[in-house]
Amino acid sequence: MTPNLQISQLVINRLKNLKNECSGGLFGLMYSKNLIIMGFDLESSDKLNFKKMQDNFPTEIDLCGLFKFDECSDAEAHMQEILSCVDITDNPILLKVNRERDNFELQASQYRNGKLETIEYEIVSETEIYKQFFYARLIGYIELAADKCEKSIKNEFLSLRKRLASGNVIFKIKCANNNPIFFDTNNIIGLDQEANLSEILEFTRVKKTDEGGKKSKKVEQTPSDFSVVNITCLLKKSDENDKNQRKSLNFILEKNRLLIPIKIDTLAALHINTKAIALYDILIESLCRTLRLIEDNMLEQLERGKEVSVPSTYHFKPDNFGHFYTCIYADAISDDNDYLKLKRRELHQQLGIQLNKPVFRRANNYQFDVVNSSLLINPHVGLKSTVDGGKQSLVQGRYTYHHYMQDNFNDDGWGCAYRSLQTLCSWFRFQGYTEAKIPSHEDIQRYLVKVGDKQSNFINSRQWIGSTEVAMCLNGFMNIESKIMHVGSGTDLASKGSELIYHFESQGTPIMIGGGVLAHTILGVDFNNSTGELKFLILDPHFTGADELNVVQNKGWCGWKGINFWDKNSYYNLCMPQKPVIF
Amino acid sequence: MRGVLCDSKYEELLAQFAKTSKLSIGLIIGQIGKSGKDLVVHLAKTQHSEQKAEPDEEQMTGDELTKVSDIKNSIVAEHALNAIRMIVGGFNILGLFVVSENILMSDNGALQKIKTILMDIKSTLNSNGILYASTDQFDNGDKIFLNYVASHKNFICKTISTDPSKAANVSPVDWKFVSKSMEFFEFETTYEIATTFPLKHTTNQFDTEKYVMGTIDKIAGNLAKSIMFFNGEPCEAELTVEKFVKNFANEDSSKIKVTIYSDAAATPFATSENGILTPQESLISYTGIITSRVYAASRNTIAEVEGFIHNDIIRSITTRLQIYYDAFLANDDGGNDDEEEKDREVNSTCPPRRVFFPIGNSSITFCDYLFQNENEETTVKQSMEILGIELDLQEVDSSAEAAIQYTVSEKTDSDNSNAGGGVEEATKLAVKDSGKMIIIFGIVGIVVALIASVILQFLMN
Repeated sequence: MTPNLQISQLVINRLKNLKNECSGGLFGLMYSKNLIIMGFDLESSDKLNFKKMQDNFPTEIDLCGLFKFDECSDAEAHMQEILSCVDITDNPILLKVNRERDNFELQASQYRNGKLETIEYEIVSETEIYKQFFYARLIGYIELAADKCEKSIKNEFLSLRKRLASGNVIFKIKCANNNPIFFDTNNIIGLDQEANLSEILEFTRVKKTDEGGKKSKKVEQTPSDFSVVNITCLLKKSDENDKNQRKSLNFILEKNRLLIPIKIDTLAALHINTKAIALYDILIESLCRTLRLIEDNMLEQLERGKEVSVPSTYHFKPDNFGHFYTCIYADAISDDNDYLKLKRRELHQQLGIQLNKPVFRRANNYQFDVVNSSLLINPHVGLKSTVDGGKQSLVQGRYTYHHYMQDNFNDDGWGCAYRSLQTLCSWFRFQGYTEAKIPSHEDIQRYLVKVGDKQSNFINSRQWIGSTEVAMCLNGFMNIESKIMHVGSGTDLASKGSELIYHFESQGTPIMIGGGVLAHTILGVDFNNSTGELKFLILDPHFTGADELNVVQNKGWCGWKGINFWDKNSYYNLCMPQKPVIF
Repeated sequence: MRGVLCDSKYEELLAQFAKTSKLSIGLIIGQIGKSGKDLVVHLAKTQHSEQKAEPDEEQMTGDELTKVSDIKNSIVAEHALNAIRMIVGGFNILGLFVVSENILMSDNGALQKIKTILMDIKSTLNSNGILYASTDQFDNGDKIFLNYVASHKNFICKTISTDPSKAANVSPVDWKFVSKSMEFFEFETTYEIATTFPLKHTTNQFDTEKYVMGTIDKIAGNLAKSIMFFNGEPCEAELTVEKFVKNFANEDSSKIKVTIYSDAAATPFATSENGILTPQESLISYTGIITSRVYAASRNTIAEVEGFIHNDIIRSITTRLQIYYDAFLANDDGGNDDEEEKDREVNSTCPPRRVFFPIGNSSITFCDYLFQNENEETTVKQSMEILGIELDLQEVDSSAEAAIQYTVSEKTDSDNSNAGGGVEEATKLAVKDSGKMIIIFGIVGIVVALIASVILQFLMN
């Protein structure tokens, strides 16, 4: 049975952007009668990365073939290697990429009976992927005792995996109606046995509308990211084996063993039409995958030195990547440690990601809680500018919209610059430059008093702050430097088109602008340098309503504004944060 | 007024006691009714003899109590402790019965005495690990006192407060002997435990025991966070057993299988400093199962049943470890007599396993704990001594838990500590063996010296 081949638009975009690389493994997901290619890695001639990386991909996304650029010579050798490792299909895929000048061609074939047969493929848009697929995030906690040596750690992890895989675990999904769904070895409790996974998604989604009182915005809107369903993992504590096997309680006093905390946090990619009954096995595989990753991390630590530290899981979803990638980092090794830097450098190379920004630092950890919160992420997406022949240059990456009255805090009339600062901070959080939390109004005021910028009565006051204070706080809280641009009047902003274009292209950070009595956030500009027409993409912190995207966009709280938006009689200061050079 | 129901056969039992003794005292065992009547399932007479461990019963009848003031509080309290260990979770000691020739209710001195006995029982049960023996939260410390008066062939029942600040005095209780046996449903589960806890490091045996017993609290904490499935499904906490059983009308409703799942939010015990994991100096690793059988009446809710199961499992662990350490320490002290000493030497290598036996009332079973070298006969003896229950050997169900196979050679051959037994025990055995060897060498030495001296004597002559 030959599956229909689908390729994620994002994979194609990423292949287009590759430079100098020649071949790599393809990672895809089988569902119904389809195989969709979701990601890839790059292979250098001396190392085969795909074997090692398989467990870092979400469960269900597996090695399924090979891609190579035409000029690549060692693809054949890799094909043989990869063939032996492809488990999910008998007919691995080969994508041939032909790139001549600006021309980009992709030819797909499948390996069948020792021969390559050309096949058709379909490109699936990012939005469509977010509609059709979602992620299960499995959470749990297990402790494992082991001697501090390779043999013991290997044994203990192996027996733990065996134990879990032999039906000693059930999975629980919280639902809106408070009746959880349980998944047992071959039984679903609380859901029709014939149900599709889409029904689970529905059960958990209802909750969001119920809780916040907000309309189901994420259902109606074009999705801009995957939905994530949280699942907890419960260990069976009742031994239901043959009676003769049940040894009565015993205890052993032991000495000098490690007690390893294993925080289960693992992801599986799921298609909405998959049968719910299949989920149990997928989650078991997900458990085993994360345990193998954690074990590898422990063994690697042992190999490197005397100390071992707590392994923690981080899920990354780089921009325009289209899937998650999971890494385990040892708690005692900091991001700036040379060893971790080297690991990240390799990872960037293996996944074809440039080294110009952080992607796999701890701070890049996907913020599930923020994504699931009511805060709007990138509310500007979907807005159209109208500058004829203009060049658009926008903020790069994600941020959250912070405005008046959020967090049950009334700052109407004075908190706009604070909120703009929070939006700026959120950008640095999302982009992985810092793990610092977004400061509250009080945090900001205390900091400004601490550094001597304000008197102590500033704390808990309703006094405004300006661009320089925002810059100071960015430095204090996030360790970020900023440039301040002075503009004599609102009219003068018209002449700043090129500079602002340059900022968004080189930095891509949101800008806080303060002038007169108002503060705003500039998210981008649209500039025609022959006509001089310039528009600003403004995020307005003075909004006091609920976080509903259609209101924010339709009422212009986030929108494109012309030069008249600015006050001709006010001078303006722009705080332009500069991103650090780290990866 | 507090109400109590009890099978009428126990009235006959009380009459029996009245015939054989002038005065007898014993424990009232049952389930306290949160709302509704208490259900008494057994009455266990205290063997009031100095030589209580002596199995020869006939000898005991000679050592008879005549007045309430002769009752030794410590003996009754000890009896209560031994009894609670055999009572499965959900059942407790609700009070005391006294069979006397004359009515005691108007005898203030007697009532005061009963109150002190109840207080001593309470303090003994509270100071012996987590047994969930207290019913104070349901009865405010008011315990049942049943006085069976031989001369009238009648009984009076009241409550006596164990609160030292209150007078002994007494509220009436509506005690009814009923001929219709009470219906109980059995809930069975096996709680599998494969957990390692860090243990405070010590070389002192008594401290080790204290720390080991301290880990039971952690087990209880984790167990409290677990969820239970009944016949394979989650159940609403407020559902009554009666309604639950109706849902499973087609199945054997008298025995309900319970499965326990630990919650993902189990309390972490692993510790690290700045993320760094260092090997724990001392740890305790539990393996194996605790078979639990509890009994609920149709009025009980699922939440209550869950509580019974929780209490039963923890009570069982506490009891096993206590018996284990009692034997272990007695062994260290040299023991009482040779035979027991020899028994315990082998016994104390691992905790005893649980066996069940019927109490002859409804479907209820109580339990006993057998060391590796003990068998069902021990239980027959124990149930008679402590609960007054006469058992056939076949009635003892020892199939629920398999004994841990433990031999010295197995231990030394295997470096996998999961095999049962432990390093500590192995060393202990070696020490004991060397002790024997010293004695043997000593005896051989003496004999040699004796022979030598005889020969010398002979030669000298």
